[in-house]
Formats: sequence, structure tokens, C-alpha cells
Amino acid sequence: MSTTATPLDLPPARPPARTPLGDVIFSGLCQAAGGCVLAIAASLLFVLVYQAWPFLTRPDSLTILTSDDWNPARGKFGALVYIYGTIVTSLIAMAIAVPLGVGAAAYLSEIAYGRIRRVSAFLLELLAAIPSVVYGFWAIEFLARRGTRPLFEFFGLENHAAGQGIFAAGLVLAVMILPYITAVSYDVCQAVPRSQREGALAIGATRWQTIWGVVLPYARPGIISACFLALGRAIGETMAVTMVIGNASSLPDTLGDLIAGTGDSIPSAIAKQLPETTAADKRAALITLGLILLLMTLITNLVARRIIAFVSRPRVRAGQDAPQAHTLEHEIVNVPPPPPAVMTRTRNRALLWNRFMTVVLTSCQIITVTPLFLILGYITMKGIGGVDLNLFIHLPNDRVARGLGHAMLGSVILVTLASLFAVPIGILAAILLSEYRTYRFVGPIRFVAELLGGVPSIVMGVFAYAVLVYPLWSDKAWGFSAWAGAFSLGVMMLPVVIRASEEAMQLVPRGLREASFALGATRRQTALGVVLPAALPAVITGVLLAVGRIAGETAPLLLTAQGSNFWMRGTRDLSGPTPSLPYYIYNYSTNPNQDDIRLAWAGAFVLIVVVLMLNVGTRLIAGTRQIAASRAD
Amino acid sequence: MIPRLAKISALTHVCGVMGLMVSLSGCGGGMTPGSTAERLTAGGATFPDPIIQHWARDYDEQHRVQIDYIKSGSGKGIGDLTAGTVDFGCTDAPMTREERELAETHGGPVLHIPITMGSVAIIYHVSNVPNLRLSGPVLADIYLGKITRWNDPAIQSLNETVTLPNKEIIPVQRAESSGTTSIFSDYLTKVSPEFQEKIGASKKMDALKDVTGQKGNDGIAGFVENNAGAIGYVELAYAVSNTIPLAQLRNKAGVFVSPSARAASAAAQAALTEPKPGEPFTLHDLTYSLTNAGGAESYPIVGMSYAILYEKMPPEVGPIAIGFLKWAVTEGQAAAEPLHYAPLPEELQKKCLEKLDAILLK
Repeated sequence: MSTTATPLDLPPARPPARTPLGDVIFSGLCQAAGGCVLAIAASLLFVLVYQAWPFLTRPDSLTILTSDDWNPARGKFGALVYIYGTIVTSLIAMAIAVPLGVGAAAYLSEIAYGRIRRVSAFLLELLAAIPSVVYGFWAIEFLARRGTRPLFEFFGLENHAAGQGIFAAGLVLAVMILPYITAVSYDVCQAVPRSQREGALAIGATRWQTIWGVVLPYARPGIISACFLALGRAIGETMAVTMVIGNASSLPDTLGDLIAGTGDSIPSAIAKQLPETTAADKRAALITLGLILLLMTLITNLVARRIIAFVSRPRVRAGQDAPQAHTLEHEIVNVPPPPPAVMTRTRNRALLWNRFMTVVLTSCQIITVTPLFLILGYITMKGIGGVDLNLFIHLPNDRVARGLGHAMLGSVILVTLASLFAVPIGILAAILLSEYRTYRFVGPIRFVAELLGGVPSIVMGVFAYAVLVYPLWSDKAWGFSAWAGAFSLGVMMLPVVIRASEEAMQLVPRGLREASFALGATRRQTALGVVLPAALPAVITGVLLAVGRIAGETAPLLLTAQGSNFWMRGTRDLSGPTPSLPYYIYNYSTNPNQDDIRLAWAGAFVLIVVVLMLNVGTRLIAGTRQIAASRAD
Repeated sequence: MIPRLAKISALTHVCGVMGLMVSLSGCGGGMTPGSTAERLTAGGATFPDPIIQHWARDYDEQHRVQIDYIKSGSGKGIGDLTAGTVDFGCTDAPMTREERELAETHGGPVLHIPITMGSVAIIYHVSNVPNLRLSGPVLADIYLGKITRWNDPAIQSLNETVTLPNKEIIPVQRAESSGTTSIFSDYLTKVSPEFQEKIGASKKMDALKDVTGQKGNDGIAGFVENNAGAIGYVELAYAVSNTIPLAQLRNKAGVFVSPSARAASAAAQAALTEPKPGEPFTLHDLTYSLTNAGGAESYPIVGMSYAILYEKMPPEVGPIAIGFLKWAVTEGQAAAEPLHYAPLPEELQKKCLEKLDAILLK
């Protein structure tokens, strides 16, 4: 720095009268990135409301919530079946996943230690990384056919769809949200102060009594908010549900139907019907459904965030603890101890109970990670045989040999473009949130970015379609394109990048910043020269996780990039239909043609290997982080 | 920069991929890799997809034009043409009045060009029953949920020689708006008044509430093949390329007929001369209802697939699309029978050519 060269007898250099131009530009860029987030969220909402408006203003628009008669050809738009399906599948998933997930988290946090904990955490992360289209494929081929169908037959329940239906969809959703609930609950359990546990153990509580009486009650608000976040995910899930829910538009009319019946869900209805809809009224009705879906996920997310905000408020406990301990002591002293025989009996019962619950919690963890082995095993078994050089260099239609090379290339391009869009904006926005905290819109931007992370992927597809495929303001379609596909993926990626980067920058010690400022560095210099390099490994981790997540994303691509049977001929084809691997897995997964199925399995295997490798790589970079990966929302 | 893609070797592909990535990442400046091949974007009906993919391979080799046909259902074929996201679409159900009006506001009048004909086979999954016989009314009752078990007297009386199992019937329909469904429901409305009243002919049988839906012809075939007790309807090519048994159907003349290219041709011959039954067939020039045709050899559920395109096309893609369709309706028809489709009669081929010649390039 030039100041060091200044002779000592001169007064120190005055601070520059104006902020240097570079700083002005940089803070402008950061604000623009933040503004970009706000603009995206605002236009998302505008686009949906604008398109739904013709339906919302109909006199009978409320029937969408009350009637189960969906027959667009006759002007009937009762979506009760879809709403029912969405809610019931999510509730089934929650009923299964919450106890299991909390149990597994309690096991991981309180009972498991050392290697077991690390391995289990790793498996959970892998489970969270599996793309939903792969879950759906597995659910059709394995869960419905070998799981729910024999189950229904055993109990004599009528199903009409060979095991597919509400229950199968609920099950697959449960598997999908389990790692999420477990990871967040685990973090919450870990945050319970050590002193609480030690206190319980010191007065003679068993491990289980400590978990049940101290840890879980203390962690309860955090666990509840984790459940709400998971619920939001379950409601918005598209691919896995649409593949296995049975697609029948009836409400249950018998008790057996409640469990074994088939149905449909809101995202599934949008994914199937919107691309083929031309009629203006049906289109508006479907977008209205999208709006309803968005509202449902927003509400669950807001509730969860409220709870988190409430919990994370600093609570002073020291003052309260002392009198409590005092009264406790008092009681113990005053109450005469029970006769030794009773003591032993109670103690024995508690120990027995403790042993039993330890087994239960351990099995929760085992059940939670079992689907991972089922899925990976099944896909490897079915897919690995189809993986050869041809798969990477041929087209599905080639005479010599069939492959999905163009789809893999397409996926790489889509993900690259999405990253080029989301990473710079995301990091700049994160710098704004972390380093320019005094700016006015920082609060709203953080809030909006978090909500954006909860928007269902199919809604992102609807949004990108209305902006880039058939723009609202244009009377001519721009057509399906890689740009549209990448935009929808990029918007999904943005909140993940922002959150991961901001968290990473928050972890950079304050002292580093202060030292930088003390040396006369500007905010820009501090942010770019000190904070960002220090946070870089964690930022890269976040980006890689986001890439892994969108690489398997399917629902928005159905509406934006479509698919193509040929190699991309050059950059001009970026503005034409673009193939992607998940799209082909989805399309070929239901085929009768064994050759197509083989391709789909091989594609699924490749996709899963890439996604898992990204996660493993991430883990290596991230090092000490425990289960944070599956929380990348 | 990169030679024509269809012929180059594996290694060049990889180079092309890398070249593309390089130019994507912005290092390539003015580099524009790419082949000289023209490409048409098309999509829609799954019914003709096997023959279109066959054509696409041949046409690419002979004329260096790539036909990028994505099967997604007739409804989407119509939707994409209306929106203008494809150069031409395909549908097995002629556009309805509303669909036509909407399309006209977007791109002017729409042409329907028949490209192929085929049977809709009834496939089922009942072990040890190789030649199930069914009639139209029985089929309608199965879908209406009035016949729910395989050993129902109505089915058993049509198949006296075999013992049918006391098993649940799982009827399957299409999950998306589909031309195959429109052919199927067109037939059922002709043979079952109850079906006509409750469900009606359409691309999606929304009123069939309890019937599970699967995606695409392939989705139904896959579902039936994999699930005992199931019954479904698919384009013949999807049924014979797999090992699912096909049901024989009783036609108008009272004869049980298996689906085949020949039986479809016989039905077409009989039906093409008959007056059109009403909308949507009367709305367009070259559209015909081929279901429930007379004649002893006719298979009763036969449909026609149409390419749909605007009468006015942009000069960049118009000639390519016209060239391909002209080739498809003439030379391409040779591919029909091996793939279990019925070739278009010559007279109809001529009419198609006339229509295609009348397309304006603007």
C-alpha cells in the first residue's frame, strides 16, 4: 500500500473524498444482483396472476376448490381431486417420514458416534441427492409392482392400477423428504446445549429419558419447522408423484379407496395437461392451480420461517434455571425416597424401556437409509449392463447402436448455462446480503430468496414458459429452447447459491474484515480480496450441490427445453428444442419396449453416478460439514 | 468446422462436443460448429411415432434433412402447432371447431394431411388366454366399470373354449390428451349408446373417473405388459413389437378380426367412401372416421394420423416440410406394412400432394 511509503512526518493521507469508481460500480453490481432476485420473484408472481386472471374473474372460479368435476371440454374446472391428491399424498408422506426422520435424527445425534454417525450422515446426503425422476422410475418399477400391489392384494383392497396410486405416491414422497427431515432435525438436536443432557444424565435419567424428556422437547420448535419445510417440498414435488399416482380423476368413495385408491395431484396435472393445452379457459384454470400450489408452499414455508425466527431469538435461560434447580433439589430432599424394591423395579423398567427404544431409534435410522440401497441397488442392477461407449456417442434413433449421447450433452449445456446465469448473480447477491448489510433492501432480498427456494419446480417451468417460450407480450412463440430450459434451472439454482454463499461469508471471522478495513481497503477490496477467497471452498460446495440438484431436474424442462432426437449442431441450436437426460429417462421409463427401458435404466444409472459424484466431491471439499448438504434449499 | 453429423465417427462426435463446449464458454469467438443438415422441429401424436422415426432415419440418409419428431400426444401436437413451437404437428384426431378457430387466429388456416393409417389394438394381460375375443359393447362396459372381472358371463360367452380367471380387470386409459383415445372413444360411442351419453368421443375421456391413466401408447403397453389383469388400447405397432397378446374384436359384419395392416386397409377402403359422421371430420378436407367400418375383413378400431401445418409457411422451413411430407405420403408409404400400418390408398396420396402443393410461402 502506498501509505507505507509516506514519510512519517507527514500527516496520514486523508481518506479519499469520494468513493473510488470501482467501488461504486461493484456495489451497483451487487445491488443489481439483489434487485434481480426481487425482479424475478415479482415477475414470477405477476406472470402467474396475469395468466390466471381470466379464470379468477369468472363468476364460478371458486368451484375449482369445491367441485371434483374436471372436464375442460365441457367447461368444468373442479380441481378437488388434484387438491385432495396433493394434500393426502403429502400427509401420508409426513405421517411416515416425521416419526422415522425424528427417530433417525435422535439416533444420529444422541446414540450414534464416530464412524457410524459419519457414514449414516453420508448415506442421508446421497439419498437427498437422488433426482426425483429417478425416484419415480424406481417407484413404478419396484415400489408399486413389488411393494404396494402385493400389499393391497394381501389385504384384499381394490386398487385398479397395479399398485400405483395415492399410497404409493405417499410412500415415495416419504422416502424423498426423509433425509431432509432427518438432516434438519439432527442439526436442531445438535444445537441442544450439552448442559441440558448432562443435567438429565446426572440425576440418573437413562439415555432414552434424556432424549424424550430433554432433547426432543428442547428441539421441538426446530423440528416442527423442519417438518413444515419438508411439507412444502412434498406438496410441490412433481415427477415422482406424476409417475406413480395412477392419474385417475376420482375421489375415494369407499374406505378402501382412501388407502388403495388412485388419484392425481396439482403438479402432476399441470405437468401433464399444460403443455398440450391451447384453449384459453383451460390454460387459465391450470395456471390458477399453479397459483394455488404456490400459495400452499408459500404458506408452509412462511410458517416454518416464523417458527425458526421465533426459536432463534436469543433466550436467556441462566436466570430461570437456578430457581428450578433449587425447587427440584427441594423436592428431592423433602420427598422421602421410595423403598429400595420400588426403586429397583422402576429403574429396571426404565432400563428395559431404554434398551427397547434404543433398538427402535436404531431401526428408524436403518429404515431411513434402506431405500437408498434399494434404489441404488436396483438401478445399478438394471442400468449397469446398458452402460457402454455406445450409450455416450449414439442417438436413440441410430441404426448401428442406440444411445443417449445427445441428451447427456444437452444436460451438460443446460446446467452450464444455468450456472453461468445463477452463479455470478447468486454470489453478488450474497455479497450484498453479507457485506453490504446496511443497504435498504437487504432484508427483503434475503426473505424473497428464501421463499424462491421453496417454489415448486413445475411453477418455475410455467414461469419460464411464459417468459421465454411463448412470451406473454409477444404474439409469436419463441419456441422451446436451451435458453428457456437453462433459465428455469437457473432460477431454481439461484436461491441455493445465494444461501450457501451467504452462509459461507458469514463464517469468515470478523477480524479479517476489520484488519482489511484497518489497512485502508475499501468494501469492494475487502469483499473480493479477503472475504470471498476465505469463503470460496464453501461457496464452491454450495454451487456444486446446486448443480447436482438441477442436473436431475425434469419438471420445468418438460415445459421449456422439450426434447430433441438429434445432436446439437452448434450454438444456433441453443434456441431450439434441447434434449436432456432426465427428459429421456422420464419418456422411456414407461415404455413396453425393453430396449427403451434398458436405455432409460442406463441413463438413470449415469445420471445418478454423476449426481452422487458431485455430492461425494462436495463432501471432500467441504470436509468437516456433517449433514448440511441435504439442507441445501 | 464439424462435418455432417450423421456420418462422422464416434471420435469426431466427442471433438464436436468439446468444440461446442469451447465455443459456449466464450473462447471460440466466431467459431460456429455445425452441420449443413437442415432440421425440422415436429411433434405430437405417439400413434405414428414408430413410422415417423423410421422415415426420419431414411430421409436423413437420403435427403440430409433431420426430422426432429418428439412424441407427446395429439393434444400437444395441436397445441404446439397453434403456439408455433413446431414446424408441423401430428394428430390422430382432427382439430375440433374451437381448436381450429384458435389456430386460425395464430397462423391462419390449417391443413390436415393424412400420413398413415393403423389399427388400435386391444391388449390384455391374462395368462394362458392367447386369443381373447371381445365385442364393442363388452369393451365399452369394461371401461364404464360395469364389467369388473375377467370371468364375467359377458366375456365368457364370447370365449366359450377357454376358462377365464376370476380376476379383477384393470382398464387403462391415456393420461394425456391423445388421438389414439379419440379413435378408441369414437368407436365406443358408435357401438354403445351408454358410452356416448356418459363419456362421448374426445381426445381425453375426462368423464372416466376411475380408470388409471398412463402416458403415451408406450405407457399403456408397458403398463399392460407389466401388470396382470390389465387391458388397454394401443396403436398396433406398439403391441406387436412386444409380446403382449391382442384381442380379436367383433366387427360390424359380426366376424371376429385380429388387428393387422390388412384389416386396417380393408376398413379404410370401406369407410373412405362412406359419408362423414359429423364434426370434427366435416370441418376439414382430408379427414375421415374409419371406425366400425362395414365389410367382413375390416377391423373395427382403425384410425388415421394427420400431419397438421399452416397453409402459409415461412420460406425457410416451408419447402423442407413440404418436401418431407410429399415424400412421406408417397415413397414413405412402402415402410407402412412392415411396421403394421396401412399404407394410404393411391387416390388419397394424390389428394395429399395437391394439398401440399397449394401451400403458400410467405
